[in-house]
Amino acid sequence: MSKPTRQRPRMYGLSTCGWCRKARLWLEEKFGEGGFDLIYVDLLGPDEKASVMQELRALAPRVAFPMILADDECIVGYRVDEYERVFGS
Amino acid sequence: MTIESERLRKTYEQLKTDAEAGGYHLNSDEDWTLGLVEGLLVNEDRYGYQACPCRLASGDKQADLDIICPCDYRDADLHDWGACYCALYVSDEVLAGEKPLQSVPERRPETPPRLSREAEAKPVEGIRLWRCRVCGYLCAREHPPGVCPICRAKQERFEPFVLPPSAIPGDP
Repeated sequence: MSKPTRQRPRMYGLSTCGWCRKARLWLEEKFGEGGFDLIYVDLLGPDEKASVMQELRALAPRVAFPMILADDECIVGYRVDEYERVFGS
Repeated sequence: MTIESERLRKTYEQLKTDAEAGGYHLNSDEDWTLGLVEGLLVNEDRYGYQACPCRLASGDKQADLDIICPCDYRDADLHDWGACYCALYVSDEVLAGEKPLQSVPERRPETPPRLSREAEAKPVEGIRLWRCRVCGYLCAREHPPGVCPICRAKQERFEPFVLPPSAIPGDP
């Protein structure tokens, strides 16, 4: 069962990372390709990267990728159990 | 960015040969492993060195030395989790299917260590060795080897390591 979140899910990841790929595929399966925002932090320009990282550091004690945000939730790492808790299985 | 398939295949084969020669194993899920090797090559082209594909590199090689693959944290993660942070390298147990593969928490310190050769200049009593920060290999030579014979890490990953005289058996 899907659990709708108020906010559109947003994933921060690295374009080279295997766990980020898995997380992206999980979200695609769940919400469809355009059903969530996807930001590859390694592909951002220097200024944008710095400001995104600052934003992320305020959200998690330790920033690591993938990082998925929706409503008040912030899930760090590829954690299917957590994805299912927040978005439904 | 895409990587030419022959370059990818060659790098993968070399990495696999080197890993096995040193007692390490690449993840046997070839699709997964090739994806990560591609990430390493993308990073090589982008930054000039094979930064960990699962961590955000700074682009400053000195600051990223600890996350050049194989990273300084691989062996500890293999021991504790059965895989490195990316699951590019896996333990014997994971390879044999005796232990499940799980995602590995980040152990890199928030402020990563800066590798310093300062100790080179400071005379310290004892036997001066070189220690590979990746695999712990110790080498009693004037200079560190060009490539670690165990884990293939490059010379720049070696740090000075002084064995105090008290640790040396023999002379009373």
